[in-house]
Amino acid sequence: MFILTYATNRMKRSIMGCAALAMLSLAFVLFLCVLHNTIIQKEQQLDDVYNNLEVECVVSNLRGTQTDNLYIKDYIVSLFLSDEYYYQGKKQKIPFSSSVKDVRLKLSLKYEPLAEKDEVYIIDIRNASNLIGLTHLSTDSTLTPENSIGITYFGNYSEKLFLTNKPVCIVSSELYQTLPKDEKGTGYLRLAVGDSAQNKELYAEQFLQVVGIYDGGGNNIYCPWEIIKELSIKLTGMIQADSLSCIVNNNRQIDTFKELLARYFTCVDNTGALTAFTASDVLISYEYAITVYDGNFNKTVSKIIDNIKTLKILQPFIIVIALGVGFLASILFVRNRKQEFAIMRSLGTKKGMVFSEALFEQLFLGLVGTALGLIAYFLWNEFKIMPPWGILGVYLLCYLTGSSFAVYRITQVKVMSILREKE
Amino acid sequence: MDKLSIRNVLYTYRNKYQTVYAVNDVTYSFEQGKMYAIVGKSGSGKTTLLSLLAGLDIPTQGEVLYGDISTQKIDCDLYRRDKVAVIYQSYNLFPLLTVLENVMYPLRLNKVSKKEAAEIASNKLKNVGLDEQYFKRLPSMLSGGEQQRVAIARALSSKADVILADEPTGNLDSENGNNIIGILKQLAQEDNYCVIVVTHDLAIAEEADFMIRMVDGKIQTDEK
Repeated sequence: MFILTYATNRMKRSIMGCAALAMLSLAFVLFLCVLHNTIIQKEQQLDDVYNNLEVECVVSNLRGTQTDNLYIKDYIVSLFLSDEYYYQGKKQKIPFSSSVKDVRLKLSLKYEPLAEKDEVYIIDIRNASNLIGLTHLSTDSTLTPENSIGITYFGNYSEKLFLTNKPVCIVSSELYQTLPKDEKGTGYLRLAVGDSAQNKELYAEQFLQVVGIYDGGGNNIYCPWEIIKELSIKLTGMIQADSLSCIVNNNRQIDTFKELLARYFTCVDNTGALTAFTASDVLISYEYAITVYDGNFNKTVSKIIDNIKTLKILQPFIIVIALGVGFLASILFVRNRKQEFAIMRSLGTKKGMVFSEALFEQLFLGLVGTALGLIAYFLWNEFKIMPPWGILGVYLLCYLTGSSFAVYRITQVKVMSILREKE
Repeated sequence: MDKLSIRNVLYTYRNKYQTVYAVNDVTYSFEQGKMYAIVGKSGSGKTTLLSLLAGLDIPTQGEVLYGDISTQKIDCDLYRRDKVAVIYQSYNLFPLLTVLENVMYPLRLNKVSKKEAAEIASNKLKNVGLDEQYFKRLPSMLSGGEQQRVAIARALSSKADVILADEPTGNLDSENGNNIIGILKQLAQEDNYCVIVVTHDLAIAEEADFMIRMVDGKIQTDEK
């Protein structure tokens, strides 16, 4: 207890030296925390890019010049809608649908309006107007925001209606004026629908409630993809699409996904040039190409990975330097006090007490510095990323080892020879 | 009865070239209430002898006896705490403790309460002629003579009845030196301490009851 009082009195009167030692710990603790924080932040940034940066894949013609009106065949569309697929006569499990999200599809069929109680009959399906089924408005070039065509939805409807299977549609405001309405003023459409790519005998009937209008004229009717998909199956027994695009679901698996894509598509970049996708098991002849827009993603990811690599290479060096400086500083601080330790020994203070006094002081100053460093770090970081406790523990351990080593060495030297050094 | 004695003490160490006989087969007895002066040239073994007497070193051969107990058989830390006190040429006070705290140190080491230790230390400081105004000062604010008085007060505050002084006047002017020697002489004669002073100064040595001259690690003459 007395030796602690001694240490406290001593520290009070040697405030500058003690503050310098505590500041050294503060600086290194703060530095180690900030370095750790930077690495964690970069890793989080990388996770963020992997999780949130959207990499779009767009199916095109073989030259990469056309992405709409492709009449994409059933076997390709099915790849994106189901994990099960018949390939070369065998049922295979292909992880396509689980590898993609936000699949954007569009298909247009020809339609003719039917008056109430009319027989379903199509006069000339090739000259009829378009019933367009889609998952997202952006898949249709005329309704993209760049064309600034205003859309008004009735009731609680929104663009999300295209992802449902409700028999609803939006029509042009001009067409809406001509439609019959019920007592509540809701407009309805009864259509004879045919496959634009097939002959005119094929037909199906579709009844749609109008839930929105778009500005201007025209006879294009937009309905949910699920409605048009059912019609397509009714008419042709298959699911076809005019355009198809999707977002990669797991950016970490993008290379595996690309390899899988290469089985079914030639892979082109957005200029139409073939890219170097390879796959071991491919279709004999390709009918479509696919472009994976991962240039921006790759650039961002490789930049962050480079940063993390550099920091991780530097980290051990900086830690070793911090540990070394902590070790040396404590040795020097204790060595400066060897005269004092010799006086203590000459007055009959036991080695253990001298050792405890020095260690208590070093530990106290080290802990004060560490605590201040942590406070500064938390103020800066707002408790978002925890400090590297293990590394800080090792730092304190090295710092104390340095002190113990120095005190041990000093207590081994002859007291008289230290005391006579001054004379 | 002899307070402190050395019996056939040999102390050797090896330097780069040879074995040095710093103290060579020395036998001597120191009595209570007497002042001894050990004189001799540099390297004659005076300070080594003092280290052995203070328990700061252990003889290579022979023994140092406190009463009839060998220092090799007792805890040297306790020996330095309770039996002998050492005064040095360069005072060796704790630079960051006040004058009073320096004198309190041996008492606190012996588990004397803070209040009692402060009281005893004040008395010891007053006994060596230091005024109360110095008590709260750090040693660096005192003159050499004053610092040496503090060192003597610290030596007196322990339970020791043997005082070993290594060149206690070496850093002092003649007036302060004489004062310090006066105090040490008084401690031997009036307070019954056994005082052993290592010095170069023959004038100081003449003040002692016994003068021991050392040459090449051996006691050459013992003059009264």
